[in-house]
Amino acid sequence: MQRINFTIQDYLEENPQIRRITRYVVFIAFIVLTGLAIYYAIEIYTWNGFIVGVSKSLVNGLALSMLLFLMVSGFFLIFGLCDVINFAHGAFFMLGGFLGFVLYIATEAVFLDPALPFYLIFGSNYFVLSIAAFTVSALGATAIMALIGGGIEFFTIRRLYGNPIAQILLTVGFMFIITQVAEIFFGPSQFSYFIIPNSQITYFFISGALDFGGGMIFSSYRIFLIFLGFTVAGLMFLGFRRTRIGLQIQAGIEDSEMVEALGTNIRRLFTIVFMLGAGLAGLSGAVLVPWIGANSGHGLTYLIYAFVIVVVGGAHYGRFEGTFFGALIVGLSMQFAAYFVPFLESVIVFIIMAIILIIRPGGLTGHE
Amino acid sequence: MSNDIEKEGRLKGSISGIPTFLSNNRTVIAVLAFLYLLPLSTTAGTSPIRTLLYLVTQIMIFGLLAMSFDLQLGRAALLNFGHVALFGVGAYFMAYTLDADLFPPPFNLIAAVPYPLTLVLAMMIGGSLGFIMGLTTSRMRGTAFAFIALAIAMFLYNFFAENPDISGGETGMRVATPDLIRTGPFYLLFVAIAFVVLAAFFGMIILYIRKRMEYTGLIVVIVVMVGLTGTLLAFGTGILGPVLVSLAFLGVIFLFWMERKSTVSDPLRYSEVETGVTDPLTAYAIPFSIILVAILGLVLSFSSNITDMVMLWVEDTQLFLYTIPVTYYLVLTCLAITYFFVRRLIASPFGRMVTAVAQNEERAEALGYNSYRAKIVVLVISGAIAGLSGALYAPYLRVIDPHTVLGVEVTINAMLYTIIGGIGTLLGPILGTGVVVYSELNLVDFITEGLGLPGQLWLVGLGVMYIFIVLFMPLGIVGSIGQKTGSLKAKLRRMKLGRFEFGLKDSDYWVFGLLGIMGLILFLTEDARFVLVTLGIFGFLAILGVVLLWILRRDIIMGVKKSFRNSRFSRGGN
Repeated sequence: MQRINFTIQDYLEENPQIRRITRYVVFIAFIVLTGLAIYYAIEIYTWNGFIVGVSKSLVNGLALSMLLFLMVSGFFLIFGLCDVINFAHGAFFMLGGFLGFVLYIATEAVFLDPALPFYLIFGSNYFVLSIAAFTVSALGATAIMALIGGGIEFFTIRRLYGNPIAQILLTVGFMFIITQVAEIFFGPSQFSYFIIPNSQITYFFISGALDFGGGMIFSSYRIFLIFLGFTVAGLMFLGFRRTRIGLQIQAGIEDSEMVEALGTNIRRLFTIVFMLGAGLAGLSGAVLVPWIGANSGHGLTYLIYAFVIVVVGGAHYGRFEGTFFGALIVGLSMQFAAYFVPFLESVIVFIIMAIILIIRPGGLTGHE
Repeated sequence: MSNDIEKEGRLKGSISGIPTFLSNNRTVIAVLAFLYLLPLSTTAGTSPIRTLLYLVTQIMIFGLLAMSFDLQLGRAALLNFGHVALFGVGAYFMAYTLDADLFPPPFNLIAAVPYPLTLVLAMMIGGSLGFIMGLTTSRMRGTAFAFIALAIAMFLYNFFAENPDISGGETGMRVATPDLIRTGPFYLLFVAIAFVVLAAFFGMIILYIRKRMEYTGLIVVIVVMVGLTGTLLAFGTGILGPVLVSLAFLGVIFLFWMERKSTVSDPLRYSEVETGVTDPLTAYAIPFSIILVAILGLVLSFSSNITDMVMLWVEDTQLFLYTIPVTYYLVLTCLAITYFFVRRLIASPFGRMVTAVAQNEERAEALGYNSYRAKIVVLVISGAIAGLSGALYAPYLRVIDPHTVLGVEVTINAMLYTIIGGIGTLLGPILGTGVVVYSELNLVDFITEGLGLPGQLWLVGLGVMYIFIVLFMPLGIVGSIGQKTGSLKAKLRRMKLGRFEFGLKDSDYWVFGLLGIMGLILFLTEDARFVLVTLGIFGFLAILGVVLLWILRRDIIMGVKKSFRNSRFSRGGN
């Protein structure tokens, strides 16, 4: 039977010259379109406004991308290695935010208690106090979320490998439970550090700003987020290249049966990956609270971003770098769209995803 | 001339096919008959069953949605995260269609075409969006398809959410109730359909009793007779109707004795297929008179209700409560038609081909099937069904906003209904919808009043329920029960009480479906009149359960011991 569906792909594979020409044409068209877009942006916003807008959305976009990358890398690892679409990942992220918030308040109260020795160190220096308390809260949220994630894997998901549909149901169940528990404890309203009147965190993390003149004022917290994100991402890349477990995880994403045949305890690897993924979600949730606050509705919103980023980066047999670039694309495009084309802000991510999937069905790094 | 003969032959063939059809769909027809019977009991004023009808309507609408999702996931192995787009497109299309002020008259759909046709148009809209999704399947497989569909759905959602002037925004968009739903003749049409289904139900019982010569058949018929007569006594207005219906059942029992006697005295004649001899008395005269008497009884039981409803329409055509039974009938009819259509589709060669493609795409392609086209057709059909459910949902809900009809939650819900009911089992998604929707609505009451806990815990309870269902029934309710009861059925077939044969065959299980839905719905109405009937039904089922436990006591003890031993060993092994 003759194949009826005629695809452009087949035609291009048969004619390499046309393929090359099309590639050049697409490249030139892209540059021309970008130039036109920049030209019109300068026309509308003036040169100075354009520069301010670009730099602001660049900083915000980079900060958002780094945070999304921290969250989504966990999702990607769980999806890549264990083949579990973790619907509860957004809930992990959300819960991490709440945990970071609570831990920060508690740590600050402990540090400022005159009866304890911490008071001698932090009692006079609020700047050091807020940084130390924030570090403690972020690390604490990471550890608690890692324990929760590992526990969920160990007690429930472990029984259901190889049954993807049941895994979806299970993780959706956990998503409901976590979201609702958070809502019972914290209520449906938005939480942010502003509502705690005596908290010291506003000194540095929220009100702090760097002024470069000419209207270019950046929140210092977002610049800190960029550095944090790059640091953690670099550590993870190093870990995946240098450590034994990292290499095993990367090999397991490529071919888990082969890794198991070579003598690795893949079940233990799954648990570790779940702990790592949930911990990263908790970390990103905790450090994102000063920016976007903590809300029980965040789970589903950020879960969808996680879906998009993983698909853009390459879901099946994809590489870790794909997720990094996917997060960059999504974060930057969201912030640029928010500044220059506000009506596209929530849609642009999906347009970009559709374009990338049409050009490369496997995402940036994966294959079908 | 020959054409006429051919037509006549075809007509004859389709009429003679009816008994086979009735015998093959016993459970569905019994349940359908009871569901069609329900709204007949609503009187013109307020009735306790109205709230329940409203709830059942919602369950059936989402059941349609879950069925269309299951057609993709269970049959074609297409996981679709953007299923809600098909639903929401239908809903918004219906909302615009029913808005009489949107366009001037020549372009105004609801003024130009009758309401049922707009439903068909909504199906076409859903189907065309399904076609667009299907076009992407040529390159997108597995998760890539799921996510491109998600992109389409999110695109639509954001488009509608950010343009409040076309979508109603946060506050929502009012959807007018179609005028046709308020009219009396439309109601009478559905009443006529209801009586046809009830006649089919009695015909099914007669066919059943003529084939079922053991005493089990008699027991089953007596149980159904008691349950149905009790229900009619509580529902209906007069005493004459139930008496006539029980007379019809007595006629069925009389038929049973006649058939049994002739079987015992002349075993050869029993098998009609071999001898070709039919007794006109037992084959035609008695059955038709039984059906006539039964329908007469039903008409007498409900005539005052039906007259009340029609009088209400004559007096005032704008009453809201009046729309509930008609909407219920409309949705139920759509669901029944869709169910039979999908079942026919799955059994057809095309359905087999889709299954082959879903199991192994390369192999199916190598055998010469066009997998691309199969997927597109499945997506178009399922999109049409989802569009239909959306189009039914918009006037039902009366106010729609982007979040309720286009939000991701609807997709997740459809997925949950399907998975909980059982993937690939046609009735499973509908059952799963019933379980989830009902527990969503009533878990709050149960937690606050039954357990004395804060009501916000209901979502936690739902999550725990999902986790338990996954851990103990990985194939969903219908799938897991079907898997586990295979050996049980074999044992039930050889069941004996003393020297009394009590074997249950496959053909007997419809009675459990009927009694289950009857008991459940009567129980849920929470009306004092139905207590006796409900107690009777649940008592019968409980006695049957105790008898079963007694008969199977050895196997159960063995099974418990075995599973206990197994679990201990597997713990140690890990």
